Amino acid sequence: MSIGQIFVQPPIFGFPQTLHSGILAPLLPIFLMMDFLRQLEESGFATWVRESNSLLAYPSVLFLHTVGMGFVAGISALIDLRILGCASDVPLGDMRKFLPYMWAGFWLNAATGIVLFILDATTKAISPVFYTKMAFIAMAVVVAFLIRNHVFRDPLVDKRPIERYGKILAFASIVCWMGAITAGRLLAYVGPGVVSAGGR
Amino acid sequence: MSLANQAHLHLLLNHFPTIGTIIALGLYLVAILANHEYLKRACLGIFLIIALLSLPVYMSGKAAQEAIEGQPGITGGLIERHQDAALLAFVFMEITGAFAWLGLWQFRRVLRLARWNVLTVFVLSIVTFGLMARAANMGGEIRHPEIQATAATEGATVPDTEWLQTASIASFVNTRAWAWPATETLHFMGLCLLLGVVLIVNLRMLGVMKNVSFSAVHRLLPWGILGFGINLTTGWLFFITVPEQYTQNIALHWKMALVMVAGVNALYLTVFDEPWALGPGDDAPLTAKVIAASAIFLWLGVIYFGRMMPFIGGSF
Amino acid sequence: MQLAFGVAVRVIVVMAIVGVIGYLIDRSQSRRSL
Repeated sequence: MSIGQIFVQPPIFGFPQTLHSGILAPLLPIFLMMDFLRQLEESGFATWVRESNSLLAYPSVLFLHTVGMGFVAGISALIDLRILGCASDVPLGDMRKFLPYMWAGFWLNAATGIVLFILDATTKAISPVFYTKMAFIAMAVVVAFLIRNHVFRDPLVDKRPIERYGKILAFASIVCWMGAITAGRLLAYVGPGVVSAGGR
Repeated sequence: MSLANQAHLHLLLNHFPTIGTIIALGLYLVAILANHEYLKRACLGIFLIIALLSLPVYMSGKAAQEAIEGQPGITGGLIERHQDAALLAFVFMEITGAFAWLGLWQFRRVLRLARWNVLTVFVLSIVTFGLMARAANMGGEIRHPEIQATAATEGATVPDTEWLQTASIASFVNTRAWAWPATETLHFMGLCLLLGVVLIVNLRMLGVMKNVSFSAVHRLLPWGILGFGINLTTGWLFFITVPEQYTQNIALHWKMALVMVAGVNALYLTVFDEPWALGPGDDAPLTAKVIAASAIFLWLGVIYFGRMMPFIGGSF
Repeated sequence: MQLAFGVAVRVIVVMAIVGVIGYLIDRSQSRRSL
């Protein structure tokens, strides 16, 4: 029996004992959290989004999540490509003006992402693919801040070649967003709760 | 749009990649011989537009197949052969269009058409026309037994000799678990590249990052075209792998219509004087701003209908 | 997991090729102040 299967079963006699004192004891906090996640998943809001036939429900959340992805990963990618030396006609310092749009996409996806998570909380919370995606996003955000500090805040940013550290950051940023996108897509194909051939 | 209407659309539109290409090719030859730069550029533009139009030609062809296959007098093998020949022609048409766009883009920046590009487009367009004519002829044979070269009649087997075989490609995607998710992931990445460029270029027109000239952000356009190319390729892969999911999907029809219109916007940004004249600190004229805003909405609309395909289209 | 790995590798390869093509096209345009 896999870990995932244990958690989607209802509590059975003897099971709580294993959690409190047996080999599964370290997993107790997760199990308690599962109750909370199940409540979220079965809440009125989550049920409406998931089961409503309205285009304003699940389809719209997905649509907005896609738009947010385009904004955040797209603008980030182009800034990164510029740091790596492409389109050198564009002054890098001036590209800061696009950062608010990038972060707008990020926050749109944080919000829609939370909704998407709630719809399926008990499954997502035990999915390694989900945590992989979150890890990539966390790294991408950290790298974005590093780029802001080391590249955009450099007063000589457009007056001398970008140093190697900046280029490594830019490359890392691209890799992180690509990882997030890939992990995101794989959520429908790999991990607990996947029915059959996912997205198709 | 019903299958029958799409079949009709196919018969209407297929004249563009065939007759349109030969006319453009003829004009292009004249332009090369007379060394007429403006005419050369006009032909590049025509090749680009025909390459765009070839998308609905190809897709409506699939719908036309579904509309008539199984009818008396229709040999499925002839349709398959036509489809495969059309696929090869379509690939070359898109490559020709890509190089034509590149030439137009480069011209804007260096004020002359690169000689290698002129020659490449010329050779590619000849090959494309040849392949299109061949595919068109095979298409004609589907309904017109009087033009068939041999005495082969309905039911006779058609040799399986095409280089690119739609059925093999579809089968490849269907039999490998990684293929569909990988294609979807690439489609998302292409979307990000494309939307990123669309946003930066059009938001500049709307006043963001104003002290940068348009000619500077113009340099980003090839990345947008690359993103579009990824999505064209992956989108096509989706389409031929599970056509029944798509040929009657109204959301996809809307998506492709918007892509066509948005494609014209790309031409505007690439070659027109109005955006190019925007210098550092300049505020764009109202018409340019309207075009820029509508471009962003068009591409958001493309994403919308793409995302809605399982829901509005309802065929998943 | 094998599926995830298979997808990721192929996606990386394709995007790397795309990146190289884009970079080459970009480099063909050396800085011109037009």
